Amino acid sequence: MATTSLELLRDGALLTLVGGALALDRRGAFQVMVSQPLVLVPVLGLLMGQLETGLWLGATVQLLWMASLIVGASVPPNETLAAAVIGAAVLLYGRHFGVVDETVNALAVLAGAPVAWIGRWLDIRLERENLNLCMRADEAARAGTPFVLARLPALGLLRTFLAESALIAVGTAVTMIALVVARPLLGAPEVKAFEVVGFYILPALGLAVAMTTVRRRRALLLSAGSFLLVLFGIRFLEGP
Amino acid sequence: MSANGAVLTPASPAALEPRVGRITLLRVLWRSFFFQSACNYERMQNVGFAFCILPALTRLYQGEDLKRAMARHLEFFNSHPYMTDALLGATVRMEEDLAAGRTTEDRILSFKATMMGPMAAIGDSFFWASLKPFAAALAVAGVFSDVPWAPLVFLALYNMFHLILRVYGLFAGYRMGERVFEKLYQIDLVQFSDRSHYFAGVCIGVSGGLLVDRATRSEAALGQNLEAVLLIALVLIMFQLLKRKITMIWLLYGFTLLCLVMILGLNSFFPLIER
Amino acid sequence: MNPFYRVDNRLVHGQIIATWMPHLRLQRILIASDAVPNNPLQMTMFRMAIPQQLQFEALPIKNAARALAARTYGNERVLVLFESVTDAVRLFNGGNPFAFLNIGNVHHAADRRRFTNAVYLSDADLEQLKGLMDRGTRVEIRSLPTETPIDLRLALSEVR
Repeated sequence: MATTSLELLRDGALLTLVGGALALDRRGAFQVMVSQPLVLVPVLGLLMGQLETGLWLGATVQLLWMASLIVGASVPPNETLAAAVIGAAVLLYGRHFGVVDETVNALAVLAGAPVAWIGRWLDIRLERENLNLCMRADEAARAGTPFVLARLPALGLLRTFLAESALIAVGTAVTMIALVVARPLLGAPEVKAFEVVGFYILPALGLAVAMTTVRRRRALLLSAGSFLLVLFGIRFLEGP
Repeated sequence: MSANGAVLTPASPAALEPRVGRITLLRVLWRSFFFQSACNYERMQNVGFAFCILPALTRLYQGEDLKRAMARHLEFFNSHPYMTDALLGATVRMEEDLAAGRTTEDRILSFKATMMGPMAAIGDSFFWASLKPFAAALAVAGVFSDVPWAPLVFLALYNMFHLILRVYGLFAGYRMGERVFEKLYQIDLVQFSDRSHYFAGVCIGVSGGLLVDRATRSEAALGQNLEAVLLIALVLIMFQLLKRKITMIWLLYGFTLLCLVMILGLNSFFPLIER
Repeated sequence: MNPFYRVDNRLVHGQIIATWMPHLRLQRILIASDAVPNNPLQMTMFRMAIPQQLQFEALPIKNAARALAARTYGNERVLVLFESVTDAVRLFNGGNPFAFLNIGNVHHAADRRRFTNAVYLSDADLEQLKGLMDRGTRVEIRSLPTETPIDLRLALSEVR
């Protein structure tokens, strides 16, 4: 595919900024869930003209981190940032190097997954940094200056946006380099092996994680029932 | 909007009372979407709470009273972001009462402190632990059966509850003040969250069925019905390992490694795939 | 470990209902506090937040110690919640010594030292907890069941 490195950079910057903006939704602003991998990766896919890739990848990544809960002061891995990196890498590789397959997906997930934990570390750092916003709010209360207090959330958001966008940019660059270097080195057996990872291991792990979010034992029986119904239902409808 | 506009128009005795008005409430509502933008570890969402209620405070107070009111709402606060709108509404009403001399500062502080824990319990278990996984499982099943607008269904379903609770919560809270908990009692989100797990269970089962079906038909497929059985076994093994506190990331790399070693190892003895 | 003893100054909140309840497969939540049973609003809110299939009760510390020591709840899986370290120690000394204590959330305050992002303990708290540990109680700091617990004895010996 004939694309210049300038176009690659432009697309990378676009995905980083959109990813960073949507990532604010995870905690700081709105929380209407556009930061969920299920929504975020298809949005990036739409921007790169690869909606279908984005949909499947987003759904798989969603399952993998389905069990992470934000409750109280505990900080879970940041699945949004991992999804942005994995999604951006796969989409950029597909658009600029012309390869879209399960092997690329599997490699990107394996290379991008640690970003969730780096993101967790970043979240903790940011909340520590926010202590100075708290101090400034106290000062504003002492001085009786409401407009100073009213500015602080925007500062918090700006800081989060810059830090998270930077992480997305670096993470995507590293994952892209890994893909560009590793993918052509793989021979047919290795490609096959990673294809099996993409087709079997990732979805199976995602389902297992999703099952742990179901709290009732009887609801798990319902899962098993509907699973068998769908699996054999499809075969039955198609006939022999 | 002047800070003391409501006080300066004595049309009737009731109008003498400090009131914040609908537009101020709408400003509080808008700001509540940024409730968690300045979370910190010492007092959690305190800056967010003060920021959200600020439009009401500046309408009710001036000078020293305003300083005191700002400091009052910068105390420790930690609750669920969506449930907080009901608390914000109720707190605005209590602040009006305080400005009119009908309640005390302590009562506002203890009301917030009492409500935040249980409200977080209801919100966390309803939104984070129930509605989100359920709506996501439904949409994932949709994506796997080639419905491209499934993520939109996720957003619509989730935000229907989210936005109604925020808007209704704020206004009901304002109307009822401290007695807002009675309304929450009627909605009974707790029982609903319990039931949503059954729906989520079905959706996850459907996703599983679709995924296994797709995998057994793919070009990468190794055999026929055998691998459906293999995949089911794989899911159950992983589920058991997750239950035994082995984290997802270890399983991801562990099983990948296992898979690579097995396929490449087997292939070097029985070369089925040519280089 | 049954009953499960936990210090959490938010008492019943999201972590309890969304994570500990399924993890411990709880059947009862007991709040040991002198203030909570006398606060009707708080009692209503807790009853609302706890799913119906769970028993819920709040007792003054003296009564809670008596009920627990007498094994009133048999084999029921019980979570005992305290608002503060002091309350936990009072229950311990009130005739119900327990072998294990979880510290989930203790807010920041001026005289408290940071152990995790959710747990800040004062010197007075630490003195009391050392008393418990000297009598054989294991004290861990852990907000969620999925976190790696921090053993307080080890954490303190690392500081020295």
